[in-house]
Order: sequence, then C-alpha cells, then structure tokens
Amino acid sequence: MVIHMEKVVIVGIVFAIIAVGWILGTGQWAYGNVVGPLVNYSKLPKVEVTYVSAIPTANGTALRLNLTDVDGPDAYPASVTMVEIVNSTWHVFLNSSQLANYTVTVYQSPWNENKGDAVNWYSGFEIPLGSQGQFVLNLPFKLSPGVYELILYTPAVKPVEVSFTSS
Amino acid sequence: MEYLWPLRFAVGWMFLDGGLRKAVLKPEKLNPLSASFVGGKLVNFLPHAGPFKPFLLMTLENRVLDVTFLTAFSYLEIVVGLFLILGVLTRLAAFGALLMSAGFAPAYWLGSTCEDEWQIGALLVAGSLVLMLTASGRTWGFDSLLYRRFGDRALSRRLPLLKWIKLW
Repeated sequence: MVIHMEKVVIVGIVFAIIAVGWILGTGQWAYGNVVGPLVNYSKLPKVEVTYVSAIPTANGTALRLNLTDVDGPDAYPASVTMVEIVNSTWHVFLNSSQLANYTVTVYQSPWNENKGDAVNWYSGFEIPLGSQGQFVLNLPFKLSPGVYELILYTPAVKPVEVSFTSS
Repeated sequence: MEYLWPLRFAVGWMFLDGGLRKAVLKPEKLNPLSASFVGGKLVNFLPHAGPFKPFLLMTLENRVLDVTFLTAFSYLEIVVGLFLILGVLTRLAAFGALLMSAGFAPAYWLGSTCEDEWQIGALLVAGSLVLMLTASGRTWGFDSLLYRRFGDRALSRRLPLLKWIKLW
C-alpha cells in the first residue's frame, strides 16, 4: 500500500515534531517536567566555595575565599551573612559587619560584569548569580596550624561547609 | 489567516518591546559603564547554561564582543518585532524570531516564581514557527503587496538550505 501525503502535511508533521521535541526537551532539561524529578534551580541560592586558604601574617591571618553562587534567583545576589571557623577545640563566628570590616580586597573573575561580588555591613558577602570573586580577609587573630571547618551561613538555606588547612 | 494576526502582534511585540527597552527607552542598558548594563544578565545564565556555557564565557570575557553582541541583538529584536507586526518579510522575520527564541535557551532554567523563561521561550518558538510556516503577513500585512507583485520568493533559489527560507 502506498500512502500519498501532500507536501504541506509532511512539512507540518516535521515542524510539529521539532516544536514538540524542543518544548519537551528543554522543559526536561531546565525543570525535569517530563519524567522528573522536578527541579527549579532558581528558587534558592547555593553558594559554593571553590578555593580557600589561610596564611599567617604579622598580626593575624590572611584568609582567601573564592565564592560563587550557582543556584537561586537572578534578581538579587546571594548573601553570606555569617561565617564560622571551627576545629575540634575552638571556634569563632564572624558576623556581617565583621566580614565587611576584615575584607580588604575583592578580586572579580574575568566574566563578572558590572554587578560583581561585594561585601557590606548588612548582607555580608554578596554574590550575584553566576559570578565569582575572591574575598581577601585580614583576620585580627592567628589560626594555629591545623585543619579547620569553614561554615558559611546563607539565610533560608543549609550552611555550606568546607575544610581547609592553616599553615 | 486573519485569525493569526493576534499571534503575529504578540510575538512581534515581545521582540519590539525587548529591543526598544534596551536600545531606545533606556540606552544605559547597553552601556557597559552603567550599573544598568544588561551584560550582567548573561552572567546569571552561566550556572545551568549547559552546552551554551563556553560561548557565554567567551562573550563575557571579551567586553567588545559582549557589547557588540548585545547591541546587535537589541536592534535585531526591534527590526524583527516591527516586521512581524507590520507583516513585512514575515517569514524571514519569523525565522529570525525563531532563532532568537531558541537562542535564549541558556536562560530557560531561570524562573524563581514559576518556569518563566522557559515558558516564554517555548511559546515564542512555537509562535514563530507558526508565523513562518503560514506566511501570515500575506493577510493584514505588507507582504500581501509583495506576494501579489513578486509571488513566492526564497532567500536563494539555488542554495539548498536557503531556498527553504522564504521571504514573505
């Protein structure tokens, strides 16, 4: 049996398949809305620490932190309002104004645009979605050599923990 | 075909409005020295941009390319939007709209209250396809004059791919 189809029907079917494929494919990719699990990466911020180092200085410790925000809304930056440094016998909390006071430089990554990473008294570290920066802090206390946990607190989400070694 | 006009206006206005906002109504959006510069939007796309990430990074790390790309894109939005609304070279304009709608796929994952960007992109892709296939500018559009005078015309009559892309 030979089926004859008009050209317009064939073109219609081809583009219908393209449209359906695009819509379902991109929906699955972005939100998992075809076969799940459902996701929405732009709901809540997710700060990641990509590098951390602590080096003793003459009157304290130079702490370098590379921070990026990989999830969350695009309208507002992610905030790290408090940082905790802890080991098995000791810990210290740094609030947002301390973070602002101790930060001496923020290096922006080459792809950061006009709204780069920043620090202020009220929000602490501010990291726009997708940008990355290195925050250099002069902490007014010395960290003894050893392994520490660095815990970053962002409102409404689970704290982020990374280990680092102070030399 | 008359019933397609609202769709032609909707798709056209989305692009015309987007282009006008950046290039005419608030030109600071295309000024890299301004706090309103829209280049920052491209940074927001990065984390889940998938295969588009290398292109985005290359664009963002080259300021001249970044500004040129965003400026050209904005003016293209104005032209495509205006042509769709007026029904001028509608099939070609709809093809451009289709490419631009698909081109902002790196932003599809952004939608903090719902699936905003993906819904906009998916609807614009489907709308542009319909306008392209139906030659909707030949009704209530200037393409009716072009069609009456010149008949059906493609971008090229000889090149295999371009002969499928019709002008109106």
